Amino acid sequence: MPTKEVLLEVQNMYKNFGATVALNNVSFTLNRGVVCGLIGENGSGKSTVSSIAAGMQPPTKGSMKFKGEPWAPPSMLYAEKHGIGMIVQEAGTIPNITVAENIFLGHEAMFKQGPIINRAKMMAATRELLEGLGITNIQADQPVRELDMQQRKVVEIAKCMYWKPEILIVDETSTALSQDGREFLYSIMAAQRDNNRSVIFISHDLDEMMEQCDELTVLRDGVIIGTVQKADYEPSLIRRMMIGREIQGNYYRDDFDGYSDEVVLKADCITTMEDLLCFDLELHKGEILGIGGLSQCGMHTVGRALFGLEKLVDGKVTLKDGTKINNTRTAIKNRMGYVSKNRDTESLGLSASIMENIASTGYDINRWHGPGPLISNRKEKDYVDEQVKELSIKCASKYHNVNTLSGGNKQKVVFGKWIAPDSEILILDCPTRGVDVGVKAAMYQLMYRMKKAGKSILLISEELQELIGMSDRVLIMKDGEVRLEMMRTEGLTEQKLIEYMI
Amino acid sequence: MTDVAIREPSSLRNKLLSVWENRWTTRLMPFVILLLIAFAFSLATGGRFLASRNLTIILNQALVVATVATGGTFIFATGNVNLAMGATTVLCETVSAMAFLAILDAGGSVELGLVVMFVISVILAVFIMGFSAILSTKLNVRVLYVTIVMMTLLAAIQQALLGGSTLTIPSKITRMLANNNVHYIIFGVFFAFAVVIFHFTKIGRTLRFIGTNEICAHQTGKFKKDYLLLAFVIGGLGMGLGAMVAIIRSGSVSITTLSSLNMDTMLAIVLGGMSVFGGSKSFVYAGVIGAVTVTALQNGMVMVGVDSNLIQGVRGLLFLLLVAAAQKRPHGLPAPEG
Amino acid sequence: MKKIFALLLSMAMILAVLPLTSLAQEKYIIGVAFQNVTSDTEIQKDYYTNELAPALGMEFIFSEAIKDTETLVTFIENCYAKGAVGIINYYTAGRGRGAEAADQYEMFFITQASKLDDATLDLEYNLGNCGASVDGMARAYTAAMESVLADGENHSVLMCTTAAVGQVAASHYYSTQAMLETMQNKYNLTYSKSIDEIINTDSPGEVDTGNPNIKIFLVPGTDNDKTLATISTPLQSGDYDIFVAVSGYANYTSAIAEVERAKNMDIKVVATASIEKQTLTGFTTLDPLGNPILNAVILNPLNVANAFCAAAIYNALNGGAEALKDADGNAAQLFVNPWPCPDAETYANIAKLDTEHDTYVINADDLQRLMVTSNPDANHDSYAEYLMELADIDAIIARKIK
Repeated sequence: MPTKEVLLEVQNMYKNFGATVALNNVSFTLNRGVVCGLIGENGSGKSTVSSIAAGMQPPTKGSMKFKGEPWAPPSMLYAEKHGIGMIVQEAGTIPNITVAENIFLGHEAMFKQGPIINRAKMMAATRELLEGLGITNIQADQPVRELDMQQRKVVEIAKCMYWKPEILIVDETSTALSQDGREFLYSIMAAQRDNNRSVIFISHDLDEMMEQCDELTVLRDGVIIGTVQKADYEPSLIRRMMIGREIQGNYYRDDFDGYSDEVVLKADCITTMEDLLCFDLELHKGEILGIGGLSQCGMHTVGRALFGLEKLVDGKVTLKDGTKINNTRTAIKNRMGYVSKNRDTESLGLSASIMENIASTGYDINRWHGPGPLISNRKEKDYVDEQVKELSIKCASKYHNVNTLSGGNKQKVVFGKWIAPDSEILILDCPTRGVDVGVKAAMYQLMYRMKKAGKSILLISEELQELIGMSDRVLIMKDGEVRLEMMRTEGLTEQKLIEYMI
Repeated sequence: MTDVAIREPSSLRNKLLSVWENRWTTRLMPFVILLLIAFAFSLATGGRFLASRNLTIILNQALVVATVATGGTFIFATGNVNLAMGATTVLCETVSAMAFLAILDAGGSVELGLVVMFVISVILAVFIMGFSAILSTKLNVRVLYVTIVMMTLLAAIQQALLGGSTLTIPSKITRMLANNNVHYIIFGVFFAFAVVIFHFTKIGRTLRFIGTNEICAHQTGKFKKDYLLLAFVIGGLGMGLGAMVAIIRSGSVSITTLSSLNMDTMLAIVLGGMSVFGGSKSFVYAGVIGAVTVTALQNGMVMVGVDSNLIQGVRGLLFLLLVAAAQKRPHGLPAPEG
Repeated sequence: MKKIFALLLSMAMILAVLPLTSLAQEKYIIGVAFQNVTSDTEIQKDYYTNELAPALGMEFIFSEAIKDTETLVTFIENCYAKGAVGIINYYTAGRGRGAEAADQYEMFFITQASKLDDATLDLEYNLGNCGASVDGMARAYTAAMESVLADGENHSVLMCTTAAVGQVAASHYYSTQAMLETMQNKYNLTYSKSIDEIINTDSPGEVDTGNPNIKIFLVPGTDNDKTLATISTPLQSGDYDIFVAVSGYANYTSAIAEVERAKNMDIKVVATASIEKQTLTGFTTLDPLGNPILNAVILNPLNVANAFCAAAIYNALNGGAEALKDADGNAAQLFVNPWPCPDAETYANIAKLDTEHDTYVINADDLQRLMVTSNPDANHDSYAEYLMELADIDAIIARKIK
């Protein structure tokens, strides 16, 4: 039976980043043997408060108590060693060193013999740890760069668990994991609870949170709105607490509107270096075509190939007028747009401003006079302002860097970039990944409006609910091939789709 | 449940922080630093520092670096480092001076000689830089490595052409050019051209975007290989024109001429407020401001009587402090996304 | 916070390097632009500072080694910034542009060179040159060559011509010419090119002498380190038994000694030398074959030109500029004759000169003859006359040493 001993107490905490207030007088407690979910929109402060508890950064004001004693960890290494470990949302491993070296990063002195580090001992300790956690597909001496994203996350989890933390903080880790990975993570979290330890779990997936957590604490704008116990969970209530208002209309589409017969984009037996072999696809005017499958099924390559990002070994991608798409410049010239799933590395210039990012698709549109070379600053400003307004991009100024924005607002910038030039065809690859509920809803509404305006959307997603909710037609891929094609009107359900994915 | 609490009222600190984080602060900081230096030395020298002749000296001393650095910002904006700027400039100076003297020796007019000298200098520089860019993109080798090789190759060519001798343009001609402010006109026209291209056209915006995120730029239809070539061509133009300014200033070229030009140019660009990683924090005036700042610093120190042995050391230390004040420090190790 | 602190600290640093005393502008500030900085330079700096400065009411600012015209112009500008009113220039290649720059800032300018720059003769502030007498150098080199060729055997010559190409340093050109002519006359050589063409070849190489038993190898270039690397191959071939340098030889003695040892041969050295310990050592130390390292040196008086240059600027500042010009009112040339030095004894005496007030060839007392404030008749002609007197080394030794 878990006790109600208070494990962590946060008292009157403030955190400022320059002029931005991230935490505003936050106080809460975490008891032993509890999996506590922290939920809120991007920018609500949930990652900030947990990263302060984990020693990543100090608060501006306020104090903490851990196991009844004052707690002010000077570093994550210290926190890790003394009972609070955190799995971060970004990549937390170093690619060019081994799994063992990653796990014991910063703690190498444990294996020191004189001036030399005993690598054999480190390897042995790593093997023991991995075996103890039931991880069999990762070797201690493997360089991390050989592992895929999911395996790297598993290494991070193992790294945390070595120290048997009293509090395990999981910060939006589940989005990077497949089903297997998530199961593994959930088992770790359950084990924590069973061992009378605690978990702080942060995720955007409300369903997941409601299933895994004993209680949910909702934050909004750096302030705790309230805590809801499992027995009282109610999704719409929690969403309202997160956003502070009702979501107007439905979350997904609820219509069965059709689309035109006119084919606007066609992939004709395209073969790529990897993943695709004689793959065919047609996208129609006014259609939202969803493509789903497991992560490695080839659907992401389809998106890239259609936009001219992937070299075609055979076949062609054409528009309705026969124009061949073999590079991004041609694609964009023909009013196509592409939202990559790797938002931060491919869709945005993080150290550039919102203005520069959105304006990047409008250089030819915002010229001063006709085809002249000069760009009108005024036109460019209007070009960007329109998107900031239409998409309600929350920012202090459009001249601030994109890396100061929350995930959802960053995604809005990416959308704005492609909507501004009035793209006719949009290829969206996991467009709502890492985006909170309020922004997701806004994006779904935007997609629907675009469909109604006769734009065509290719929606590639790993979230079945999203595909079911938004697509006119769904293709399920496996091993580079379409295994199932289903229309919205046939009644899409997860059960029908899953069996063709696996 | 709690309602959203009222935030702390905005404080003076927050207001100051907002100003500090304003984009104009970054852009204007190098100018502010330069003005502060001018003010400090003016005080220290009883106003002599700001005498028009002294200001002219500063401008003249900075002009070659300012010209080359203005062109260099196009390359640096893409996040690439070019180590062959100095060697290219000096080789152009050499070849164009040789051509000029050959024309005079053959009985040609001074005007013809000057035109040929000018044209050769510019075309040669553009060619060398264009070639470097194509080598980099075709062989898929980083610009840094290609330019290291070019730097060595160009220096060897210059050595072969000059040997131990010094080429001297008749001082009457350089005097005539200087009296007609040709060097100022060259710089002024090029700088105006560079400002327009860099800040008011697609080219400049694209170069900065490539420096910010090459992959994202590619996904918005901006191909690095095309724009890199353009950047190098414009950079080469700056070097060719810089060679002309150098000839007007010194009237001669030997194997040791402008030996530190590349380092001086990079120093100027950084001191002028531009990031070494290029990207959106790139300004075409960075090279000019930086060149003038370095020269003003040196001039001021000379005027107040700092020992010449100490000047280099003091200069280095001041440079570190001014960069610390002007540049945004990354939260981790320096990185392009920084 | 840190940025503001850094900014304040940098401003404090700037203000902290201010001199504590104000400058009392009673002295004339003169810039001295050295082409090379060697051990000689320190001796010259001492002379400038301890002897000339008090006598002429001057303060001298010394440059680092000036390697190109750009550096010279920058130095001149920096001197102007410091309030200098005159420049003594050693960088011969930059004498034209330097004169222009100095003229622009109204600073008197004089170069230690042997050939005037025609384009700048008419500049108001250009006082011309005071440099090694090319005729004197040519005569000295002819005599030195004749002395080492006197044994009637075949000899081959390796020569460092330094700044001879294009007559950047005229004395170097004429010294090289003297050597080539002496060799030509001695061995009836038929050069495939004219002597002028040979000297003006700007890359190192063998001269086509028309006689396979007589080789001549010329190495141009002002960079001592590069020259040392270049002479290595011909020197180590053992084909050349006479080494001639138109400027200092000191850089090359080790390389020469090594070859002498390895090839068991005597390499005779003819060079312009400086007055320093190494020269005495060169005369008194024997090589592996029992011969002195140095055979014949031409010594350029170390400080004579310095005195004349400083005095010329002094006179110009005191209203005597015109008197230093030629009859047409243009910048004029003054020549300093070299001192031949065939042996250790002569050298030992010469070495005692220019060490202290009494032994300076031109000390503060002698300087009065050059200063228009104490000798109103001081002009270009009287300067030239004095310089001719100073060619007689024996007379100088008698006056100053014995």
